[in-house]
Amino acid sequence: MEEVKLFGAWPSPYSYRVVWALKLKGIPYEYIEEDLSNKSSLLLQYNPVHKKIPVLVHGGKPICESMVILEYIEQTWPENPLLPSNTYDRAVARFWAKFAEDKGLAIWKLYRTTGEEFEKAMKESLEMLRNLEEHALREKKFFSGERIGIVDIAFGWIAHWLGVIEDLIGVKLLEADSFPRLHAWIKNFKEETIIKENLPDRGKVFARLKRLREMRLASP
Amino acid sequence: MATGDVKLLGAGASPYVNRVQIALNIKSENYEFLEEKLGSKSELLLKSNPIHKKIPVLIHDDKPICESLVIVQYIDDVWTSGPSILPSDPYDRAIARFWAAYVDDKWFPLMKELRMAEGEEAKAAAIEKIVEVLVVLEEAFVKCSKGKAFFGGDSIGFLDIAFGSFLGWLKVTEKMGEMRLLSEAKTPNLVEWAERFCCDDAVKDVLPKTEKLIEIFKIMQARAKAPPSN
Repeated sequence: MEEVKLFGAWPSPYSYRVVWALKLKGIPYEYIEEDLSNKSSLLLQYNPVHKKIPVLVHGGKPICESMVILEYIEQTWPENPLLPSNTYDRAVARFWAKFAEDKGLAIWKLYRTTGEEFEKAMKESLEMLRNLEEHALREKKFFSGERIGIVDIAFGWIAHWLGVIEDLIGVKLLEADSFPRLHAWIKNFKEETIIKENLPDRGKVFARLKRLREMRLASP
Repeated sequence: MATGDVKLLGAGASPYVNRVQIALNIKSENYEFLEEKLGSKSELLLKSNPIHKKIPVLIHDDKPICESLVIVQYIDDVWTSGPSILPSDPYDRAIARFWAAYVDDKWFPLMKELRMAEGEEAKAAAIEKIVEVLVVLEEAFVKCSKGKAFFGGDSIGFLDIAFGSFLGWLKVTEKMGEMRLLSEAKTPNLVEWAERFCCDDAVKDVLPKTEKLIEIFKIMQARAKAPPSN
């Protein structure tokens, strides 16, 4: 098998999406930690368009954008599939994966905005969570059924990073009473061995986001 | 292999809807086009896409699929006897997906920015950013096409559809702004690709004519400026 490398960064949930996918499929890889404040020339060479992590490099060829990487991994290593086999269910999974990409951004604004921008981000975040609770999960253990799939991975940040953001801003979005299904999903997701063993230290994530928040809110 | 009832909820002027129409044409798949009226949303749309309430929605055997590129991928997965839309090679497929995301996430918001820009300076700045991005797409075209006619090679593929669907509105922007976004000077390959794309059998009856889009644009502008009604 050709060499697999992953350029990632420990605070980033996007990086973890790829880690989870590779580990769930049992694909050996070399992990390269990037310092996002001092990006390596290799990263800039592999991702000249966005200059971001994660980047998967397979046999010397780079693939960028976490969800594009996940689809690549799924097609290249079909064992332990992350997408349903049924075509319609696959389309539904891809719909929710796109939803994660488009609507997830609001959450990342929560810890670094105030005033009107913050209110807007709150509204969008709650709407997103409500849609997940009511339309995406139904009564299944994971988004696509009994096993972790691409949608669970796409929303993985809810299971770990959202709690950190809630602590930072002092507001709880995901109340257990209002979001019973999501709460159950978070519990199930974090109990999976691969996930449990591959999450960044919560305290470190908190410290990092706190610093970013202070920097962002302090600047004029 | 699937046959069965295929309906498309959409509006002819929407590039996102056009993406789906082109994909269905490539597969020579018949479908019923249910036109949504400008400014209102049908019961069927609200029921089929409760989350976004947007077109296009493909309804295949009464099951709805939403999000234009998800639908295009679904069409490719289901109608396997027709020409392929996505590349078969996983790496080429990843590259096509990457650039399709770039079109939607990077290029399209800049076009919106230009439309909202007020004053010559703001417009000029927006145009400069758009041209920069088009130059990036020009380079992507050279790499992806490998000397052939389309991003997808000899025939139209996923990325051609993703980007090409916007050519109608791009021409409207150029005409109304009396300027060129795609030019022989900076994006010669894309200029030629655009012409080939628009003439393709799967495309030529789908993208509305520039004059028709300008008409629609003026109606939408008037509505946006009109006092709100019940």
